[in-house]
Amino acid sequence: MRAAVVPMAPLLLPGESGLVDPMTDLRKTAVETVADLAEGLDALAVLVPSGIVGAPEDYRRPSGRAGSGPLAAQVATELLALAEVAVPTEIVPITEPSTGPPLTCLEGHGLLVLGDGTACRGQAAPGHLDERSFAFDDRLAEALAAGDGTALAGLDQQLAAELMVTGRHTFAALGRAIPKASRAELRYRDDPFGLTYFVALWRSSE
Amino acid sequence: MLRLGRHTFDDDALLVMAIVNRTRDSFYDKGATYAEEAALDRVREVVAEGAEIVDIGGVKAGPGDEVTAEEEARRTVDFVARVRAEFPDLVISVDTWRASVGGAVCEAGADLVNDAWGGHDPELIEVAAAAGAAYVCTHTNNATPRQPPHRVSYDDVVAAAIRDTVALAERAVAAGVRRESVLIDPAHDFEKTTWHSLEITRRLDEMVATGWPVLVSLSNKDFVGETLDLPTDQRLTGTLAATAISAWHGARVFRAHQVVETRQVLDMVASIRGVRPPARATRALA
Repeated sequence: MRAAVVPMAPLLLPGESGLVDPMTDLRKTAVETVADLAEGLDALAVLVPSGIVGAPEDYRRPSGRAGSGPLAAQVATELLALAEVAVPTEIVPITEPSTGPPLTCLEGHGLLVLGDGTACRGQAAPGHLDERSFAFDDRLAEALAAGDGTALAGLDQQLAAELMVTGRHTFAALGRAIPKASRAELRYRDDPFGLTYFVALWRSSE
Repeated sequence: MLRLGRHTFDDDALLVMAIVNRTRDSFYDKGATYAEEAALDRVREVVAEGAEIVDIGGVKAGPGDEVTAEEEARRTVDFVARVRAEFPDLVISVDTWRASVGGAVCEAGADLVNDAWGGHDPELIEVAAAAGAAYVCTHTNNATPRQPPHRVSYDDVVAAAIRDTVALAERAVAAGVRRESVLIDPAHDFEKTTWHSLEITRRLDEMVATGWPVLVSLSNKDFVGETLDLPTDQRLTGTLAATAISAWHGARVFRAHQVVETRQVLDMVASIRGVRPPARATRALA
């Protein structure tokens, strides 16, 4: 089984940032990772947070470009298109940490997991400054780098909600599907706007 | 598409035409760029600030020092050649009403003849056509060059401006100027009271509706000064307000002293209109 974690910022949607593109590097890494994820697979399940703060269920692009439905699904669709991934994909909204599809049944499927880290890492951050963000993101980064699904499944959901972690449900779902990845890479971690973006790729021999 | 000599621009481009005076007595700069080196420095500055066009003038618009055709040519022709050599991508306009000067500057590399006195010298159109230059049709109500207005009146100043500039535009096309190279200019303050210039601004969309691209020359003019009761050096804010309204109404070219401020206003209007994306939109999108 294989899984990739990518952010779900509207700025990853081409054109939303205006004349400049502050997401060039992040988008490139995310697109490469999505391509690596899909390589040789029959199908992808796209786990999208939905209906929580920072993950609107029906996001209309402020630039006026066409787009509707969950923000994360739109970001995933754009990344898949940029990666020229043609395998069938199923969008799976994850609305609670403990529920979700029978992920272990998805034989031959890859998981594309959308979600961001904390959003409270500075005065200009969406959630202003909450000092607890730093340690929380560090733990997320460690788990993603180590392929530690158990840690993700056991995220402190209350604290994650307070720190506006949009990936709190989808990361937990990933952790339940893959308790321990045999190979894990954390390919990107940064917080250019005061919230943390991660890109990771996991492979599991099971 | 707008074609200015060797340059072309999209229909939604808003262009800044920076004023470069080789005069001793123009009302705003008062001779600051009369000397050739000072004028060249001014060109370098406005190009760096984002002006697409420079409008080089050798004679003050209002009454002032007598400037013969020979003296006007001495001030402008070689200077145009120097600017052309240093800035191949810049649109060079020359503000003149004399055909002899127009012909010489076009030969030296000018792209655009800004006939600020509205066809006073009928041969100027022929000269522009022969040179393949663009041409600005200005509404001056048949005024004599450099004569200030006195007790002017109109039935309808906007209708008059449209009638005269469109007629001049058709004349220019008939003379051989390319249709996409003809602009019309209502000429704020020229043969107009402040009331007239305000009405022209308020109803500029009617001029735009003619389909001819509209150039406006608003910068620090008396109608701004009288409206706000401010001297020449304090008219920037009023100028920019008129610039924004004119841009919203659809004017395409803006003759200006202050390039940076004008460019910002035009970019802002273009983004409000929705034809220019914001430079950097990340607010609430991270």
